[in-house]
Amino acid sequence: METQVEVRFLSAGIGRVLRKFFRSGSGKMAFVGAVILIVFLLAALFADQIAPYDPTVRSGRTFQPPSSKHIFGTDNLGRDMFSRVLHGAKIALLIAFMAVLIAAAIGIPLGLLSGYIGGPLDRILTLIMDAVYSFPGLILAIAVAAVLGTGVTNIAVSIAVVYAPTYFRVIRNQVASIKSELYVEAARAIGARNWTILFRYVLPNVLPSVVVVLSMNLADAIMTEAGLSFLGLGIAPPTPDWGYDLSNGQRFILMNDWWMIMFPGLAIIVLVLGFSLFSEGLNEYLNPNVGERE
Amino acid sequence: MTLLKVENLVKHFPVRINFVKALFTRERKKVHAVNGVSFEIEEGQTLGLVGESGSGKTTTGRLILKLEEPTAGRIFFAGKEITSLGAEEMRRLRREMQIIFQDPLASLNPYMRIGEAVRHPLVIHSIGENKRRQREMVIEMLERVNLRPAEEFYNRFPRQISGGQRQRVVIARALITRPKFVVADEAVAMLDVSVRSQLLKLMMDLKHEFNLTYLFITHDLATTKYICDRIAVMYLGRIVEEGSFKDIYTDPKHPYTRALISAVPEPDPKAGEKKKKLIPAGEVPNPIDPPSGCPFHPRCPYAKEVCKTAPPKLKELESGRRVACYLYS
Amino acid sequence: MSAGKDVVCRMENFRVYYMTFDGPVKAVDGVSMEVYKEETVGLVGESGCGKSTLGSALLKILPRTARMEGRVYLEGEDLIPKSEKEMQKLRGAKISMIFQDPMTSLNPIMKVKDHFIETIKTHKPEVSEDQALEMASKALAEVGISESRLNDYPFQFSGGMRQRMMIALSIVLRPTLVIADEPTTSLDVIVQAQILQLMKEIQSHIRSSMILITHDLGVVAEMAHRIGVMYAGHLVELAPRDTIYYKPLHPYTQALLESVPNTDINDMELSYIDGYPPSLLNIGEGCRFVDRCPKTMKVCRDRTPPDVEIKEDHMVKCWLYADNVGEVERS
Repeated sequence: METQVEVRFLSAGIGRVLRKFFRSGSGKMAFVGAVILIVFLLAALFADQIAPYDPTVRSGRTFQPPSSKHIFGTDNLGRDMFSRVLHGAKIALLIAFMAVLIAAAIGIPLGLLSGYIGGPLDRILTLIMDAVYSFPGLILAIAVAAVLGTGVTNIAVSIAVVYAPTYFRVIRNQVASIKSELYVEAARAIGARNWTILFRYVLPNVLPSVVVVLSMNLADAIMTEAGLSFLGLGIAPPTPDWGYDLSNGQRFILMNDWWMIMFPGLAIIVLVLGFSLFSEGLNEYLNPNVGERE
Repeated sequence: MTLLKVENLVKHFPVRINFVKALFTRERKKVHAVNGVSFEIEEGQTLGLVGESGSGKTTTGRLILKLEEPTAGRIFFAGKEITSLGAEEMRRLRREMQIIFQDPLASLNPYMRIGEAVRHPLVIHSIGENKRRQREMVIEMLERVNLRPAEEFYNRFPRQISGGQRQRVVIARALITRPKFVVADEAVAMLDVSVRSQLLKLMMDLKHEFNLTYLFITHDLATTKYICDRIAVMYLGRIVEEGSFKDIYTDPKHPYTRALISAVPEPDPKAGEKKKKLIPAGEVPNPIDPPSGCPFHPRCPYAKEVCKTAPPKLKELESGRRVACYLYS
Repeated sequence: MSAGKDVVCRMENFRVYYMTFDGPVKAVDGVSMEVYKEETVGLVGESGCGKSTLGSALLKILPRTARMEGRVYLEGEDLIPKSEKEMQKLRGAKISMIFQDPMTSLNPIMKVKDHFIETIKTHKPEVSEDQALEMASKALAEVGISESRLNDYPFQFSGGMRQRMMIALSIVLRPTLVIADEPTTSLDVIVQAQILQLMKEIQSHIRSSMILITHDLGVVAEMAHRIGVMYAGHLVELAPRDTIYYKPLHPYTQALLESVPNTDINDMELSYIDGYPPSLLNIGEGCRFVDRCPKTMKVCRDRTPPDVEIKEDHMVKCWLYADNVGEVERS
């Protein structure tokens, strides 16, 4: 009677997903992004093991161009740039992840409530979040960082303030539209309480877009963090940090010491690119409403 | 025994107008979706609510289940007035009153497995001792609506099954709490002919098995004859005619009902050629600005002066036969 | 009713496959039929049977993943090898389409008159704007819309009026073949009756041929001279209207007709077809109705039935009527 009955094994399911993933253009994009991210993640996790020198102390002569001893050269204090870039990945990723998690922790619940309850609460929250959102990101982060001072947590918080409204807006708008979906009304009709509806019917349907926003935000957070450190509002030296190294290196640019800014700069660019590719691919994979026929 | 009684139900929706307009006009326009609807349904009977889009039939169904707050009027369920029931009391009552929507895909959470979707009402109303027992009940129900093998369907997502199977899931979810009353809002309208008949048959069988009372909302007169004991025809928020399904089919009184029946294309060329076509000109007027008097008078071939004055009352011609038309007063 | 026998459109073993990662979806598979001058051919079937794909394929307005094979002749010209540019010249002029939902096929920011002017000018650049407007108001008058509405936008029309306008637009250049894809499905039953009446009048007036695609057996009963029944990509039966309704041969046609509700209250039997149509992805040989058919034979599973000519104008794609099947294979 049933014609489409088929047994599904878990492995077969995973295989199907992977196959679909790789055959589409978005899959390749996400794959390249994922490879970049994994490389950086490994670099950050095993920085102590990989780095040939301690990134905070002098390891050779100052202003050495790249050589077999110092493959990224040394800086004005004779520290090994390669080790600094490696350890910088640790700081950059740590702060980015913390910032994004804090932002999500603020933005997602507020967005859910605001969108679902609506009315005056929604208007007030939207107003506040829009006001925050309308500030240029870096300027806002500078202002908050200036108040809070340096340190990993403080930097993460100042970045989170910038991105919380993004989550809020995405979630709120999605919830507001999902709220009028028939399956939400059907849930009401079977007698579900508001909390049940919110967590079992609304939340699962907004989560895919949260994942996408999350990975996109990570790219932004990396840049904002670098920007803060570049301006001297980030991590206190001598902790290795790409933004700080960039600003440190640019003082000597007239001496043609290109390696001091090129490698931290490249690290930022590649990591941001990795996040962007990954999130873009993920986005197309999770929202495949383009070009597919049922 | 009367299971459901509706008295003079009214629902007006405010019309959204843009900000600039709102500054300059004082008048707030309203959509007159439901305009004084009254009817009763006996226990175990099926009332068909028939009408075109904009007739207010869907809104009526939603009002009865309090998915929408009525502007005025009273609703009685099993002898008890439920119009002013609080949210929590209403929530508990939903175990007894269920709805099947038109679009089965849209009415299922895409991220919830079918089995879980059907089990959820049991969880909400704390039916069944534990999860295992609930699971058994779900499996039994899935089998009853012919989703076999039920164990396999339990773990599927709505996207992975066909339209007809989805509607079976929705029916299973609606009936798992053993309700007394079910609103079927165009429940088979989106399905293909062959599948539509399967589902109609299933709904009829379940009606007898579970002793259900249906409010069967549809735009398609032809499907009502298999399942409905009585039919009420709606036009622009009002019931214009009510009677047993046989009366409505063989002896329609209201000019609108006659037009409606004559407009149904017959799947039988010879019968179709024999049938007299009484097609009124024009379309259903905008419910924001319904015509004065009888809502059908601008399109009615028998319209008289009196029809423009006030809407005719729904009058009982004989027992169980009501018509709202000046031709019969 | 007296349809001439001049062939306007002929399909020979016409196939439309949608290419997917998992293989081809055989939406239309081996359809051969003719459309005569001034006649209406109804194409009925359930959703997913390929009837809409077939309609769109005749205008070649399918997504890029679709592959078309076989032959489709429109007034003797094969459409399959034609380029997009050549097709644009034909669309609207020789072959036009009426869609289910006019709103999605009309540009919402273009006035009604601009739609007409654009259509006319594309095919007849020599026509002046005034002449085009005159043609437009004439076409509108034919469908019962006053020319004062030329300056309105499509969204200012009600559903029925919009469909009327769509019809006017599709016939303004007097095409030889009009394809109507579920033209009344989104309309209420009374408006549907109005539009069907109008379509009949217009067709006899402009003397075009029409392929009417619909799932509604009531609509084709009123409109069509001949009816083709489609199931899962196959054209399973093609015959004059009354033959289909009163002497159907294919088991699917028979079952389909029995499961359609009518308004006759003496006929209270509700029968239905068990099961669901098969998935068309990578579907192989064999009759596609085999799993739901009460008369399945062994051969039905193994080999696709041929198009059997019962009479001159009655085709049925079923092994029951093929003489060349040995008794052994039947059992």
